[in-house]
Amino acid sequence: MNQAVLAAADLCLSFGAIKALDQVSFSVHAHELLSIIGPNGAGKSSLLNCLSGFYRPQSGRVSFLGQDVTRLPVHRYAALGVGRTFQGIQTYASMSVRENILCGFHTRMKGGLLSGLLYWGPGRREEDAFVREAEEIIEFLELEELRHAPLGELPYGLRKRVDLGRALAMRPKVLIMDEPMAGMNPEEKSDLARYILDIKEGRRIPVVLVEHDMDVVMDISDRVMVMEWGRSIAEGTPAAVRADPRVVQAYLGEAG
Amino acid sequence: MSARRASGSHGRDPRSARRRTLPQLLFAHAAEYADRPFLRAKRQGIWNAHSWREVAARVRTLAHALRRHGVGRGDVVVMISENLPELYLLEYAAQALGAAVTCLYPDASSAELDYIVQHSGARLLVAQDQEQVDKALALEGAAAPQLQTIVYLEDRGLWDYTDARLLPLPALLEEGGQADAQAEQDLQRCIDEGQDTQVAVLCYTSGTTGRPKGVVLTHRYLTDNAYRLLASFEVPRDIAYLSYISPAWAAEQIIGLALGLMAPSVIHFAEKPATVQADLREIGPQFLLFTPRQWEMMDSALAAAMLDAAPWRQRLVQWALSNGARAGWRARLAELLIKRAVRDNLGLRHVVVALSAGSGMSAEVFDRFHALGVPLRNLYGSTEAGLLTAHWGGAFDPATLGRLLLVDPEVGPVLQAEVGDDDQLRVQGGSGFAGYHRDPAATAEACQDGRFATGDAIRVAEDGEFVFLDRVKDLRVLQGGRRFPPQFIENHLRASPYVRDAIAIGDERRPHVTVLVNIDARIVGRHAEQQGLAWGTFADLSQLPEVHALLRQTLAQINARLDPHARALAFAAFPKELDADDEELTRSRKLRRDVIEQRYAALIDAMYEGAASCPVEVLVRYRDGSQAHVRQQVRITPV
Repeated sequence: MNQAVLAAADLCLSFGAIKALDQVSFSVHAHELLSIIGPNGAGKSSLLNCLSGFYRPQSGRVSFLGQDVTRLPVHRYAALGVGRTFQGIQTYASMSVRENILCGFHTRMKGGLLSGLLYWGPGRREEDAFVREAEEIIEFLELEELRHAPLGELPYGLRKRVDLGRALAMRPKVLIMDEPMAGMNPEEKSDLARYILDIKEGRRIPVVLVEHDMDVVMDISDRVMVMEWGRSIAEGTPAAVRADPRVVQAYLGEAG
Repeated sequence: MSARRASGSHGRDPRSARRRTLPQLLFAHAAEYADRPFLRAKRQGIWNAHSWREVAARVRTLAHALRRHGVGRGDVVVMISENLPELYLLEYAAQALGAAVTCLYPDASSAELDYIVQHSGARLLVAQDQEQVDKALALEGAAAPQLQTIVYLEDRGLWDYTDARLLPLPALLEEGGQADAQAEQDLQRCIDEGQDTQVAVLCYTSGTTGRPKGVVLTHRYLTDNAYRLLASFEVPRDIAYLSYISPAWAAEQIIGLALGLMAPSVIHFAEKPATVQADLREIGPQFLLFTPRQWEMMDSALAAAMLDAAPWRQRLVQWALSNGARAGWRARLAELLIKRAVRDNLGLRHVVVALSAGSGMSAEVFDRFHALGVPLRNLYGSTEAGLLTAHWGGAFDPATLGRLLLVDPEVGPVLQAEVGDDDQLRVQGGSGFAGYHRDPAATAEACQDGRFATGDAIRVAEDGEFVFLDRVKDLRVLQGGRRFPPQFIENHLRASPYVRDAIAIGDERRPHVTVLVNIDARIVGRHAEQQGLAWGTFADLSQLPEVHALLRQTLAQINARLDPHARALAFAAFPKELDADDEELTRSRKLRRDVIEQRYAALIDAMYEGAASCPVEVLVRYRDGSQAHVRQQVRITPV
């Protein structure tokens, strides 16, 4: 197998007496969609937070494209290319779809306040380039007719899609998504699943997905990792995981 | 007493195609117009123009590539896509090789595609995107081995497809770019040898009855029909045109692909179907052809937008559109303050020629657009015989279809129309009807003594104006032998913003007329919201007593204009939206009466039995193949 894009080895994380992560190892490779599933409190979000630098593990190591990033400050993760969307909505309601996506470019913007105010020369050229790139993302996510619509007027599923667009604006090398489909209706879910697959296949960005909807997970994942009580208890293709007796007992529930 | 015959005249416009093919016209004009824009398309928020020179070069490259893939004289290339500039380029390229094209509506089913690929004998298919590629790859039986190449235009979702027949457009262009001087000579010979009697397009009719038939459209047909509009409407040069109606329809082939070369036009393409309304405003087209249904949808969209406006604005617009503001200083004030702004919002500010073609259009909607200052005109024709009549030369009456159009004197005799004892219109003249592809029996049946039988019941008034009664087979006789006009009732009902579709019921077994209505959920829903009514689904909404009161009022107004025997005495509303996927509509949104009357037979019987309601169960099919049942107690309301 090719080199892992994002990997973690033997991560341990405790909050007081509670072991949120206990010797968890993990890796996601190029062209791969990896889903992490598990009951509430299994440590999925803690793992994501370690992978994107929000939490510091007490021991263990996180590496990104072969580089040890465990001790880097959180803002460096984004600059390196770890993209992330969060649970719920983190977009600006009063701004348009395109403006929201443009916000995603801020880690890559060089111009300061002065060039922004003058809007001339390099500052203007930079914005033109970013607008073009934002338009590519708008086309990719099929938001053309809504590019100037204020986000606050859009339904949840579309706002989530814009959120995804903003994450793409960073040009991430890996995309981490925390429960993107929570609160969506089936149609919105299948739309978003389609775009996630397009990101993996068309933009060649590996995706790490935490999701509770088992149908979606089993449908679109290349690999599934199952967590329980801070440990990884199984890992493999959707079919293998579904058949694993430990998984059936721990998470999917015993028959009858 | 009406005339039984009418004759048209020849046009004097100098822009005759002079018996050239479309590619011959393209290359001749490209040399002349060089860097002037020809095709303009919006992508990623920006309008990109392609000059005549660029288009001609691109068409040559594509022609070379198509030739390498075995396309040659007498072949057919099938295309299934939305309106895109690439479609125009590929069509001209195929025609440069002496081949014909067949376009399908993008929402055509796999079965339709299968039939047309087999029937046309196509070996190369152009598919817009993954959805269309999937349809093509799903073909089985005879069509499967026959298809050798599938060119696709958009690669989304197709990144990991491995079928050897698939070829992305950039790869096709690259192949074409490798052509040498010899190939260039061969291509030029192909183009020069083209005759305008060759087949340019096979236009499969939407098939309201039976299997689709492939109508042969020659280059002469396309250029002659384009000339009929050019000459009759004195279409200005370099006119901005929006390519919106599907090229699967002969009208787009005539007005987009042929008239575009001859006028010439600057042809615009919207970013995608959902942005048409916004793009329309940016383009401000001067030439537009919509179906009556599209005009009616624009009209109801306007009505819906007005519901949200402040009351004083609503009153101002009502005043501007009323008779009080039709003349003198009031008219000027209304134009200045209101009409121009409304037209601008609809994208109709610069319109010089606005045409409505297809099936009949309600006079109310027609009048409303005229009140707004949109020079809307009716256009009438058939795929087989071409464009026949229109409101040209200034006169227009919403109740008529206008007069016979002017014909290119270099093409043939003037149009001649004759109405037989069966009320059927038969026509000859111009480029005429070239027959159905591989169907001599149907051709002979439709065309006797050189006259094409349109199947339309038409009245020709003394002044030469045509009045559409109905399809000959659709004029309906009630019990007791009295006739009634189903389309009249339906068109007037559809003019109401609350009604999307309507179907009038009545035949020899029925003593009177009844009506089934498909409500416009968006506008009825808003009305119900304002009234504080509760509903969950379309089925609930359609059966609310308050909604029925609204429909009853509309129907009563229509009844007032009819003879007592032809009045509708009861109606019911469909518990689900009529849908082409359920075969209740054709792809161009025409009603399929036989399917509807069969599916809702119990409800129709209940209306005649005087019942107050009837349980209805309908099967709904979704695009992904899944099915669901809609069960609803359907209310029947007497008028």
